[in-house]
Amino acid sequence: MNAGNPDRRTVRTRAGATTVLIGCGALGLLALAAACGSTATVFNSAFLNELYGGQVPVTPGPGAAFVLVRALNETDQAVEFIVTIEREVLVPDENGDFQQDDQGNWVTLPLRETLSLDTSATSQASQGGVLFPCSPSPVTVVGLGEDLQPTDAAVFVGGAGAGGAAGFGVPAGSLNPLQWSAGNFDCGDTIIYRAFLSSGVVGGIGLQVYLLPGSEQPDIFNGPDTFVNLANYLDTLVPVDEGP
Amino acid sequence: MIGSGLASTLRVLARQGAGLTLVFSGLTVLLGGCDALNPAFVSVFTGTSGGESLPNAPGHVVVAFSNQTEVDESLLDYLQPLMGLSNSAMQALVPRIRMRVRITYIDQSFEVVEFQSGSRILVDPEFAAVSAPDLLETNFDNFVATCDVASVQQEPGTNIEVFIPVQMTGYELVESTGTGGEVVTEFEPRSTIDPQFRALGVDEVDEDGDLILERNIGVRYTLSPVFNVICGSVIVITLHGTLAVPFDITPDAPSFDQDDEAAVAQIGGRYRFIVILQ
Repeated sequence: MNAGNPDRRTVRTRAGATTVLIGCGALGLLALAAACGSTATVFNSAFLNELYGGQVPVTPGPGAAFVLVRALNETDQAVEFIVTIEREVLVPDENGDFQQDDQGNWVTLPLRETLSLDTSATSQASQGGVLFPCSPSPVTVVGLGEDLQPTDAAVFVGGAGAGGAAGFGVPAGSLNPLQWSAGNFDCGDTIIYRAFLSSGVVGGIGLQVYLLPGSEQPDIFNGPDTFVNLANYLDTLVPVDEGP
Repeated sequence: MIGSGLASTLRVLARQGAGLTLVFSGLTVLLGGCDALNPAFVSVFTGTSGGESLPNAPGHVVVAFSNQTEVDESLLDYLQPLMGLSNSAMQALVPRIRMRVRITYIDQSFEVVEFQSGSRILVDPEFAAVSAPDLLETNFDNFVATCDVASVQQEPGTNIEVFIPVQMTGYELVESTGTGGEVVTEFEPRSTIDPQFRALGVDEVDEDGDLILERNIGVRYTLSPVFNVICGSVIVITLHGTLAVPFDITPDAPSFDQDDEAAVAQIGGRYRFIVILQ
């Protein structure tokens, strides 16, 4: 209807351009606000945290005495991560008192714990984690596979979850267990195991491990201090010794 | 038309220096992606991933299970000579609890986590061989979900279970004729239940809320669901209670009248959940 009126078309085109300009400018402002760390409450706090941190903690340390082990599944198939840790536990005597040797050193024994972390093929359920307390017995080894051997299945891919078919196993291979004594990790850190599609390995599934040191995390958060809150709450409970 | 509109837009932009700055600033951030502004405190573990790094997690929600249950004294007294543990070791025993929790994310995907907590040696050694596979699993008492979480609840169709560490004998009251021809009633063993996980039942109540049959968990103390969880929150599911088995028929061994519905319903003890979101 306006095709025969070039002046009017020009006015509409300029109005549209101005709208685009304002839209782009606003978008730029919002992105800049987020990037520069201002209190841009228009964003979801989880998004802001992923963007530049400071909203909620992403690793337990240094405020909470846990080691967080996360599993990240990027394979488009269900993956079960076999997480194994070792810790040195004090040995009680018949009276329940902890034993010491002749030199006064505490007698300890290595205790191994194995858990399976199920992750879905896609979506948010494709990742998850578990906390291991560092106290009273420090976590000394973290790895994949039930016996921490290179030939152990580190993950099972394509299974049906708990109670179902296990899927095929992918050996740990050169993904060696991390040693606390060697400085590979410390209490408060997050260890992230990632399974991903890789054409160069047997089974087409590659494995990697990442470390997020707790010592590098900010001290102050705008949101809940997740792991410290958990530690504080657990401290209020009556201590329960679950025994061996 | 589109080409002419775009050209016109660019001409307008060219005349708007401030607007151009804003646009390019925004585009720089957007095209660079979130990782471009990542504070990079995700560092790579040397030698395993060749210099790559991962984006920060958006935050976590911790779902923790706190097992604050204990073992009934009469059961401990029965087990102590069988297990050969010291008094302090016996007092430290914690009932083994198993339950499944569904964590639903805002994209409606979900994860089912099976929590297990309690002593792994809490079983009559005579039956360990048949009951150990379920019992011996490592304690799994927390799960760290990635934000954002929509709800946390007991997995539909599953039960809260407690491990019964002893064999129980079910008796039935039977009538027989004595040597003098009189009618004698006495309990006869009819069934046995080996050590195994047993589902905890919720009390039965009528429409007015009055108790009909007491089981293991009161209707006000079931595992209540949690919705709309804020990123960074902690959900602690605490279970209080006492593991108990009946010694109704034979005081020196776990036993019950299998026709006594109330006695059967209470096998396993009494429990209550407290769910705290903080």
